[in-house]
Amino acid sequence: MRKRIRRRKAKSKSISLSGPSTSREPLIGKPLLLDGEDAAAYERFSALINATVQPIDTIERVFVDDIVSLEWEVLRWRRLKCGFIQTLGLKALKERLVRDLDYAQYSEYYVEDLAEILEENLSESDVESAEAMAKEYAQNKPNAVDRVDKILSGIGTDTEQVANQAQARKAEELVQEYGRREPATITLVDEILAGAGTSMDALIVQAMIEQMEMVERFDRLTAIAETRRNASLHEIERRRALFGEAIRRSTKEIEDAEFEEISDTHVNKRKRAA
Amino acid sequence: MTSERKITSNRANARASTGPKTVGGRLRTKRNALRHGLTLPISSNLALSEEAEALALEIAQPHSTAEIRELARRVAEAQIDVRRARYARHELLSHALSNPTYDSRASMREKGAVLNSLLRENAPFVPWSVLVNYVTSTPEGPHKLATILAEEVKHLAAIDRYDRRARSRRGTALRALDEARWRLFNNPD
Repeated sequence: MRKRIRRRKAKSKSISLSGPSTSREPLIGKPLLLDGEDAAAYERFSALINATVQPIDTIERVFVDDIVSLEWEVLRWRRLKCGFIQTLGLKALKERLVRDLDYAQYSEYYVEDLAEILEENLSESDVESAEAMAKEYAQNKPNAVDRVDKILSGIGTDTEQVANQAQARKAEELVQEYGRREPATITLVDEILAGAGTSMDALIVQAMIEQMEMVERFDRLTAIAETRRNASLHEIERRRALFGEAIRRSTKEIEDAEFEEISDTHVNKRKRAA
Repeated sequence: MTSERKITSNRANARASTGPKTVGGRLRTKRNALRHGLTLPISSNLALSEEAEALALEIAQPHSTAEIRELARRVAEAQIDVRRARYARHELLSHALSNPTYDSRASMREKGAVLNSLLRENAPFVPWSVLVNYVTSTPEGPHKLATILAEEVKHLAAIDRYDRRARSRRGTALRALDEARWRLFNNPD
């Protein structure tokens, strides 16, 4: 039988795989945020990661800073990719609406634009009748049609251009409302698109195909940041495994230094001597 | 295995590749290294040197050996380089994003061509407000960032190369430092 007995304190090796843990911030660097990014959210995120990982030395603090900044970058590129695709969809929607809006849907803007042009080009005595004339023109009243056509050709334009401008203005307004997710506009737009045999999803897919290179660029940036973040995490794991091994070895050596293994004969001899 | 002839030929070609020869070429490339300053060694900048020194001291333990101090310095320098690359990329993006008139070169060329065509005789009528709106319109939101990424793709790729190399150097230096510490831990004498 072998027995472990305590012997006098021996010098133990210090675990020297890590440097001292301090809280000197300048070595880490300030957070790099783009315009519109929330500094407080970054700080909260950084605090959460630090609390989870609990860096034990300067090197780990450097890697945790790396992880925080790279994860922030991953989230940024994902968010921007979503925003970009949404913008593409809305742009495609506007192009579609400019083509497919019925006159009834933008007639109000048409009359308004026409009245504005007439106000600028009628004599002072007739300015007040501009709106009425525009309305009559929209209703196709012969007198108004002749007069307005003359005025428009006099300034080098025609009703088609005015109509296109009004249609584009209405389309823009609908797109903005659609972007704000206003229920009435969503229903109206979905109806218009369904009438044209398409849908918002189809428009987004089409727009994405045209901008695939850009979408892939966002994906590549995300992938690069993810790979680097994972490498930093892996580096912490690797060092902790090494550190863990050092702790295990040190603990064993401390125990060995504290206790001495003795054989049965030694125990019996001591008993006899006692 | 590479033949002797091929090696001789490669060496001769390499000797001939001595950079731009014409005055124009030399003028274009003479400030390349200063574009983002990432190729400049840390030792050429006093503030960075001091920062690297401070970080190296933090990484190495107070009574560490000369070998550990040297390896810690390598880790610190690589880490400062990683940060420099990160700052350079951030600077490039945020500078472009904060420019309210930022537009792609292709878009600016197109606008110039449209304006030229409108100055010609028999040019179609375009309302002034529409024209001003077209000329002054610039990309916004995610579209602006997408434009910047597309326009600055070369610069961003160059910065990314420095970042990658600095990270690789940091990893190598760190592993060497850990190995040295491990060796020292096993054989303190």
